[in-house]
Amino acid sequence: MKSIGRIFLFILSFFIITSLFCPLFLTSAAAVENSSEENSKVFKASWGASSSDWGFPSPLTFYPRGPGYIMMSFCFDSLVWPDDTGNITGMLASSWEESSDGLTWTFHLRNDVKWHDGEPFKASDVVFTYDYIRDKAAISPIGASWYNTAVIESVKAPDDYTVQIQLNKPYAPFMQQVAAVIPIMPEHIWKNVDDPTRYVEAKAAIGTGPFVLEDYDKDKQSYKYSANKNYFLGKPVIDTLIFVKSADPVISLKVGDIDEAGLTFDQVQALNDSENIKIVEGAGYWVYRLRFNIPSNSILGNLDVRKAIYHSLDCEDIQKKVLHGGGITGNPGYVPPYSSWYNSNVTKYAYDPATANKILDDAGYDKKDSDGIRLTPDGKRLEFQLLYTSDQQNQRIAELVQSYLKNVGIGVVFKPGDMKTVDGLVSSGKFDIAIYSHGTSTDPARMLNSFPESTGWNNTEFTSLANQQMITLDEKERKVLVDKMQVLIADNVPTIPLLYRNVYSACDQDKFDGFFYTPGGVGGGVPTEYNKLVFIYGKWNGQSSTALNKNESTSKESASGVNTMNAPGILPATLAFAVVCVLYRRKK
Amino acid sequence: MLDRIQWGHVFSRGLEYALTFFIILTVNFFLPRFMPGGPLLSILGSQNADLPVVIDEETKYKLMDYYHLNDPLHLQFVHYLRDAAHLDFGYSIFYNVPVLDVVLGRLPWTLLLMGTALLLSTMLGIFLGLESSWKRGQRIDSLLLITLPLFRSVPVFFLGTLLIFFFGYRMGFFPVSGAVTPYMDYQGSLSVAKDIISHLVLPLTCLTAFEMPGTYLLVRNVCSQQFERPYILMDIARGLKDRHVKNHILLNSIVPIVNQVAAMLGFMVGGAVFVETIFSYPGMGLLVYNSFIERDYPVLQGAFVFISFFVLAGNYAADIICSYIDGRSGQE
Repeated sequence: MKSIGRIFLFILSFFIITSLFCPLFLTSAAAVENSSEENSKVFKASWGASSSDWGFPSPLTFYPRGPGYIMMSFCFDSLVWPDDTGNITGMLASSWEESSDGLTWTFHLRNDVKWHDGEPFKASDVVFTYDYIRDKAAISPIGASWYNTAVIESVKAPDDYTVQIQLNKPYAPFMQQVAAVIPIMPEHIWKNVDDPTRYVEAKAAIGTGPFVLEDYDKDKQSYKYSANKNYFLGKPVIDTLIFVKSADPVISLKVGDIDEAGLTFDQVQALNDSENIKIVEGAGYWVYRLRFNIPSNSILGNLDVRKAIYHSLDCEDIQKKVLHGGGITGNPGYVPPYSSWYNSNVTKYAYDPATANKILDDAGYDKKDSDGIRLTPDGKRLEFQLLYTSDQQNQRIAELVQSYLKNVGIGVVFKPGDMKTVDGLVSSGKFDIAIYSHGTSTDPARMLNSFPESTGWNNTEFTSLANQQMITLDEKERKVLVDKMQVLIADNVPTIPLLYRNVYSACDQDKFDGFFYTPGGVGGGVPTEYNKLVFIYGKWNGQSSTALNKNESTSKESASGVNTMNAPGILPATLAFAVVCVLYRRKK
Repeated sequence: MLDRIQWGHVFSRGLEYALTFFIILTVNFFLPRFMPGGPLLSILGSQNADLPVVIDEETKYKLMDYYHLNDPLHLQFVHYLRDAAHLDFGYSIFYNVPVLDVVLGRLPWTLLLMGTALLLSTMLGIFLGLESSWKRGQRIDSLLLITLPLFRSVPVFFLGTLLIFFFGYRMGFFPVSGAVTPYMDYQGSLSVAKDIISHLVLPLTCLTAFEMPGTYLLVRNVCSQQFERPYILMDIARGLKDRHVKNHILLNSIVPIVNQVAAMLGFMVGGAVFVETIFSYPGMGLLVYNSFIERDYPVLQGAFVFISFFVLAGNYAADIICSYIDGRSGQE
């Protein structure tokens, strides 16, 4: 028994002594770390608080959300790509022209591009990719949702460096939504792949992009890319790009475990005392809105009731209380003000409870019960279920909406659930009102055309405008149509956009500078700081790892000094353990 | 070593556990399917997708077909059982690789974390519990009795956050997430071990602190009861050394303790889900958590099967150990 006891006292003392003496050993422990990777510029990033596993980064196996596409885009190039101004720039294509009827697009390809495995890139690869995605990959979740091949009639290669894409109808957002989205895959690797959704071998990540995939670890949820030294736009300014999972990105940034992370506004506030960290802010194209069950709920199907609800909500106040200033207030036309498609000239619904009360009185809900909740003509309470995902922000929105609606005599019963539950209930029509938050895309083709489906609001005029703007190639004419669509939305209140969230990126600028948010997003509208051109245009400020280590031993407090403190606890802990052992021997 | 009756006991208990395992398999299959929000929603993007997805019926049907979601439920169940017998839990919807690959990648980390936590919390619990009961009513006993249950009553995520804040961030002793430093260049196996252990310390402390008080309280109670037994008086009267008396007490209270440890295995899985999520420790708990969020049924089922198997196996082992130690428990 005594021996067991001794072991436990060992362990206890070990913890205590480690805690006490660790600081003494810290610097020496840190200096031992990471001494290899000589002269390499390693950049570690994290997607922030959300999950960080976005699937295998290949065109048909990534996780079909924005970040999944971005992880893939490091390895694969499309014909064109949006640059830091949001304009389309040439990638695999150096120039292009369209026929006057808008049906034929001719791309002239670069002739000095090689795949990561050294094979030359040719027009036949482009033809192969478009055909492959249209035929084989259309059934995969990614093929179906990301790559819009429905408008493509045929793809031909007149010679090795020219590609002609024939459309079956004019398609206004062709460049942004198709040419700049579909990643070109190497024919010599994919031509024998029968089931593209299960092809996750290393070869599946071979592309022409600025980075070569070194490792994707699905267990540790990390990615490692190395720079493509022969990249046609020039070698990336960093040598190694690593994406890691971080339990708390703010702490990881502060201790230097990572160099960059996408953060929320609240997290950014927590960082404001760190001088070396630069914050970049961007348009989030992420909306929080109220969704009504227009088709099934006869009360909410009434436009006057929806207008009354709009008047009863102070969206400005909700935005401030929920995002603390890290976003902008929603507007009736739905398109966020930072979009080039925004129309400010639409019906506005000011916060005005008096008007809301009057509308509701006139609509026949003029009696109230003892709780102050209005009664319908047949004597039931005017009360709605409010469905929302039970995260912090949605919870807060739900509480605010409840209190605002209570002011005008509308009862709200909370119904929180996890994201998938809410999605399931909404898609099966079992709800009254739901709080929805989602990306809005940046092009009207996707931002607005989905309205009839995503709101249950059917309006023939809107649908015809939607179809028309898709085939209108003249930008100005298209804008007129999109303006009209926004007027219709504002007049009919099919949904209430409460607020738009901004996106934030925090980066250690002593190491790397140059993150930007692409206006209009990349990959068809993903608002992200990880436009791969960041690593071409950006600036490396850090030192190589070897120099860094020398620096550390002299300056203890430098921010990057903390950087390598990955596993420092063990050395001193072992020493402490030894000390305890010796002491016990003595005592004996 | 075991006589005939005890072999019967081993066999009958084994049957019971096999039945339990089958019921677990069944529940595993049906439960996620009765929840709202099918896997298709997860694939095709939901409200929180970055881009709203519009998909036509035909593609949807093809997709459903591809994942065998069109089959009637009982047929899906038969397929599921047959494949499970071959350790084939299908393809992960998220990872596009066999579930077995995903689970085997995570299993070692959980076994490491839970195994060491179980060992540590049991040994600490037994030691402290015995000491505490030995010195009943004294200051050390009251101190332990007040402080240890405190760890248990503090929520795990709170304890984890505290550990992260003080030891990870403020003092910077230990890394706060993951099981290894991603893409570190190791010099020899020593630096690998060092890295793994340093990542293990905080989640291990958290899980141990959470699990240990249970064992401690049980050991203290069980051992305290022994003090009134005549054999203790006899021991003391014989003038035996303290540690001999303690050994006697412990030996006579070992059965409930072993059972408690086995029962703790199950609770530990729950604790591990929290701890692994807080520390982003790439074990089964985190896998279950993420798969639940994504409604990745195949992975969820595979993970549950493995977890239940280990918990049941642990309990089965405890049963047999008890019947070996204490002959009576074999004879119903």
